[in-house]
Amino acid sequence: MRSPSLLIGVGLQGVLLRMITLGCLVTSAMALPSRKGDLDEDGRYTVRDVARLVNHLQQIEFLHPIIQPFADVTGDGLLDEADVEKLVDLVLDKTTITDIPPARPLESSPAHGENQVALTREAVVRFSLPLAPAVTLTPDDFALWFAGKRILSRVEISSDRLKATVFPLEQLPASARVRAHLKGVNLRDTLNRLLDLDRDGIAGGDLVFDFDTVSVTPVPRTGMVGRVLAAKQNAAGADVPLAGVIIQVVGAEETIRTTTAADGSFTLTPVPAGQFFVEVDGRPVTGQFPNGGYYAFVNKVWVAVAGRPDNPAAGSGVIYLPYIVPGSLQPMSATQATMVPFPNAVLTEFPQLAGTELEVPANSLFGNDGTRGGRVGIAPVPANRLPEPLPMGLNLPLVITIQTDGATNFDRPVPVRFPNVPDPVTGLRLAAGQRSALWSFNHDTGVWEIAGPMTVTADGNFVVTDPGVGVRQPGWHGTSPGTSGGGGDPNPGGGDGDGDGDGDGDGDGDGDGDGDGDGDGDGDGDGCTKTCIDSGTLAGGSVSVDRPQACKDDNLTFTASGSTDSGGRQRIVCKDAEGTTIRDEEVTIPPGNVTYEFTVSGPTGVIKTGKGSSVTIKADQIGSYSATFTASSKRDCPPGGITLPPGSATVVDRGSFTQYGGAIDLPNFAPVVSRLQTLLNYIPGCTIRLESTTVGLTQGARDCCKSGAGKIANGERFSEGGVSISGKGSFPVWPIPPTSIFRDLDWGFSRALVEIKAGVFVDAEIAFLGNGGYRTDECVLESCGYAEIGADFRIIPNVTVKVVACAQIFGSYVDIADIEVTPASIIIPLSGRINYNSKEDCSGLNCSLGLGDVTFRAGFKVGGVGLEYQAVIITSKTLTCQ
Amino acid sequence: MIAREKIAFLQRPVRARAVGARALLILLALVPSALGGPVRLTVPFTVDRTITASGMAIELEADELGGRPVSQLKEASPHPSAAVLQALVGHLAANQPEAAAAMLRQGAFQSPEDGLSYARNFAKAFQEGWSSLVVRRRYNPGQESWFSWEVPQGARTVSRIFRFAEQDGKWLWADELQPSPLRSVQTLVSAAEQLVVENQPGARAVESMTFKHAVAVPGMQARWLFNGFSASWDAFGNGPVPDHPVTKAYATAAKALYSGDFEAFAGAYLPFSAQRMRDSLAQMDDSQKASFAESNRQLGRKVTFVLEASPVFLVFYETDGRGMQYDTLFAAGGDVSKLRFANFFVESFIDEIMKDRGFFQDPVIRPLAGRLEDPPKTATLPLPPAPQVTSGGGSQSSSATSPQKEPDAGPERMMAIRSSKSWIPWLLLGLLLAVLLLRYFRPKS
Repeated sequence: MRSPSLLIGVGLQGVLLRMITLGCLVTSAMALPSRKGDLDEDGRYTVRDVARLVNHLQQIEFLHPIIQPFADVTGDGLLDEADVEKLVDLVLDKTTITDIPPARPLESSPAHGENQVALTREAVVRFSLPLAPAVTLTPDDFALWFAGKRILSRVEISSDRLKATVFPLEQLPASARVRAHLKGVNLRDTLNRLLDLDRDGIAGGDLVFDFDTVSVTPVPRTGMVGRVLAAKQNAAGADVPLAGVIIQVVGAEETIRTTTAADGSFTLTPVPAGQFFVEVDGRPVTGQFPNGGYYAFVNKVWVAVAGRPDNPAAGSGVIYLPYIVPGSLQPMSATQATMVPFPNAVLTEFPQLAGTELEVPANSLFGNDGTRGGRVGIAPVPANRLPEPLPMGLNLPLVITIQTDGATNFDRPVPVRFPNVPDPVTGLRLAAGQRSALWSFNHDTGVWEIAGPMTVTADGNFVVTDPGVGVRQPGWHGTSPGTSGGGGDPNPGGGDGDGDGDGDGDGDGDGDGDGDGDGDGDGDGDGCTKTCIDSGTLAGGSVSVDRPQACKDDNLTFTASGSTDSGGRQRIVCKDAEGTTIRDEEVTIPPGNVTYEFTVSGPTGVIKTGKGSSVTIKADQIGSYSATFTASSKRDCPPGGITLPPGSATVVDRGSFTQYGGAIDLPNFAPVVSRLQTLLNYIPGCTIRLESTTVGLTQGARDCCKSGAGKIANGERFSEGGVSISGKGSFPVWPIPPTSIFRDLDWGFSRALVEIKAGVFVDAEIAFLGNGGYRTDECVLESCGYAEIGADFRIIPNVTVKVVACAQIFGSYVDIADIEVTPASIIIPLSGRINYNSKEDCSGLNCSLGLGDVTFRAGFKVGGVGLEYQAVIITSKTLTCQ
Repeated sequence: MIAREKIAFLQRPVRARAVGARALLILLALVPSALGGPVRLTVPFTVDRTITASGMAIELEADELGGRPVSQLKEASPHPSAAVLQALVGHLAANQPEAAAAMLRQGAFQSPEDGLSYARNFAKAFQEGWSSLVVRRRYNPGQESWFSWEVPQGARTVSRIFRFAEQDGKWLWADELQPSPLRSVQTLVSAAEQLVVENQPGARAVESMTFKHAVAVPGMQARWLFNGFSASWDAFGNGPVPDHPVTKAYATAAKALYSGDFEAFAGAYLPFSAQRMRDSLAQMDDSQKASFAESNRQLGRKVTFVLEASPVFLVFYETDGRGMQYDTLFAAGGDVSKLRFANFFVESFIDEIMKDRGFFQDPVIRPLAGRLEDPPKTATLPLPPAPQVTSGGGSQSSSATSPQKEPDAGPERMMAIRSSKSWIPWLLLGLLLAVLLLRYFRPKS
């Protein structure tokens, strides 16, 4: 890939001179070009077209995102000096270009193959050209699929028509491969051509991309711990714990949740291993949402190491929630832009924040269900007391949280204005006209990203977003002048993906490629030059493994720790606008946070690589496993990385259970049978009594592997017996048996109110088979009784129905005798199982009993035309032991 | 703003309105194509066997056709389905059910014989009225094209809807009787139009209503419009009852159920349902009643959303393990002090929608339910007068949408339910008002 930044920085000067010589004019009117390069849509290639492109590249006047694809005259996907050169040749009639190709998808979100996707994530496709105004999308055209079933959703085209989004109206299935399918048959671009969705260069085709959702399956003995504190300390400077904050795992809100105690502490267990999404809801603390003051509601991505019950939440174990003062939320106008400043109470305390505001475009706030409008407010948050720490190297002088009363989307970028506060490191403010960047926290991916360029106002008091740039969703946002790195902004600006239009990929727009916007090339944006004196060193560290000798199919966890960064020294020289040195000193660079990258190898080679201080793998092969960690530290003058001595483990085969002698020891099955009985009696009116009989006895043993002690022969033993459970039930399915049902029936040609008598009665014998025993494991030093009962059967009740009265509403006359009634059979499906511990482990009580939908159906036929009446008597539900 | 102007217009003297209506019709007739835009209809609810207008609405895209004879339809509506409707009505009027059935979409009925029976019954049911059929609107619910039409039947006017859909590039008759969300909404819209035809006394004009929630109807180009508040309150618990007449009435009845006082629970219903509940309870012995009360206690009753469609109120609640359900309450005469439960085993088309988890409860109610916001701190509700519910327990009584019409219930009524964002009708209306003002208020020389 070539380096557009150099082309912009040097080559454009010559082009600009040529333009000035030609006396080019700057136009500002936006129109849709009829062909590539004709940026002012006058049907010709003129210097005006060149001027518009140059102005865009120089960030003097941006081309509207709709126009930008027409400016890529070279067709290479980049907007750069090469496009200017070719456009000049077109003006001079030295060359020709092929017509602009049909619109195609630029990117999808989630990307094809992306994993760990949140269960609430919408799917987005961005196009290279706007969709035609007449194009509408329905859930038939753009849908999410799982296991052959379409997920209930709604589709929205963005107001600039460059983006189509499908919002799931139900949570995506967990641990699932979801397919997004966009049909191209009805999709036309702004030039009324079919889209090239499959990107084969020919108009037509469909776009299909798959992604994997995050797991929400809890792992035993795995948990998160932490404390939730108010972002603001009390008058004495002490932390304020928040009690009553609800913390729940997205996708398992009903089962994996907790509430903070009086000291703000919480334990959330069991949780999924690896990455998962959580909601931290501070609103119940005051109970005054949305009209009064309340603590914020935030979504976060947490990571848990399997088998560790005290994983620190958010990395540090401390979560800060900002307080949203009363009156912060303001209603959004549907007809004009709404300015959202800090409320007076905030400005009284922090007058330096005056002037900070959002400009929410008219009717731009909407919920996933399509509802437009709502209320929006902003609140300041100390950058060092965010719900989670900022990533290394990102020093935001001010962070704001944008809160709403429910809606979570803006359909256009929302311009924002921050006060031009001093850099937290240098203490200097940006100069008027200097460049900065808008940073936003992406809740879908859990990372901070650049959302686009910002510029300091002429009076030097504020930093404002550039035209077309803004906040794209409520949440956490800040501005930083001195941070390198590209962004995740999807605007197709300079073709580099960062949306700033300069093409250098760093997101700052100054073209020097360092990402800071000050043009000095050092990457920090403060107008200062930094020179390394001493990079310092990394030292120490080791890798541990939880089981040096493990059995096949055990989990192995390797953990790196102990590496330290000595810190370093650098020289900082700062000059003012006239070039006078205003600062020249040597400073100490504090140690940075040490991060690790790992490579895990098994008997067949490398099996996993990644970032993090801990990694867990399933040892599914016999042989040797090892993990190598490299440590690094990201800071100014970063030290060189070091490789830690590897950790290793040996995996042996424990074999299968074999016959074992000894005394038979069976558990008491009564509690498990009682649990099953309770679950069955969830069926309204059901009073089944179960009885159990023990049958058959076996016992066995196998080897196990104890951490630090190696393999223990016959260390894992069980005694087991079967149990036969039976019962008899007799009950009406309706909670109160109706004397009759009145039902309005509409055959189209006739409508009548009929009264029917219906009965659904169960009189059935039910039988189960289960087993259970006693387990002893000398390797993990545990012993417990266990029992398991499977339930998979159908109850078929007796169903009766007859019409006893009929009243005509209109249409053909219908009498009782004219109505032919047919009752349909009803099945009450039950399936699931109940476990109390198991032969494999002592994990406690786990049960799940699925009760399917029970629907009463009857057919009513008049004049040969049948109409079905149906009523759901029992809605499906999975009953668990939680 | 527009709605207020419209109401003001409707409050002008009857004579002026009549003149205005005729002039408006003439102006509408001069418009070469149908006027399109969103139309709002009040959602009809069944309250014990009586269909009543509510404070909930459905908004659909529609072309206003102004009650044209079907013979003029093709000129009024350029949509290709208009010609299909014209041909279909021609076949039905000529008692040619075979030809009409041949226009049915493939798969609409289980067998060709069923489709033929359907067409034959239609031809017969309105045989006296086909020649007088007029078409009111063409709805655009999404993939299909729906025409609402009216025919006289005896002393009444009956409003119905025919559905059309495109299959293999050809528009076909798409009516069906298999249960489906589209079929339910078709019945709902048809009943809503019937309410308009019959002009139920006391029913509020949809333009006079304001809505807090507007939620897309899944799979359709339409929106539900309604009011309501979320709650997080266990009606069987000991926590404070939200300060709202509906929740207080609900709490009183729920406590009676919780405590097993079934007579008090039955007394919380409207008379017709109350008697039916007493009859049902009479079939149960004391142990069965006790078991029922106990199972209710175990299941709990967590109220998560109250849909305010005054005079009808739906209280959505969840129990442990049985998903979302709702109870219907009715404020007779709009007086919330008379709030009573209704519909003990009385169901209608609206219940097909409200009970549909995938079509209504999950996408519409659940996102609003159970948030941490309190109901409004008002002791009374500004309810408009509402129709009285027919009480009494006769099982033979007919459904009673009132046949009574207001005088001069002509085109104004049509405009009264229209809430179009199209500027053309309002331009015409403005011109008309200007003409009327000049005519009635011109100073005498």
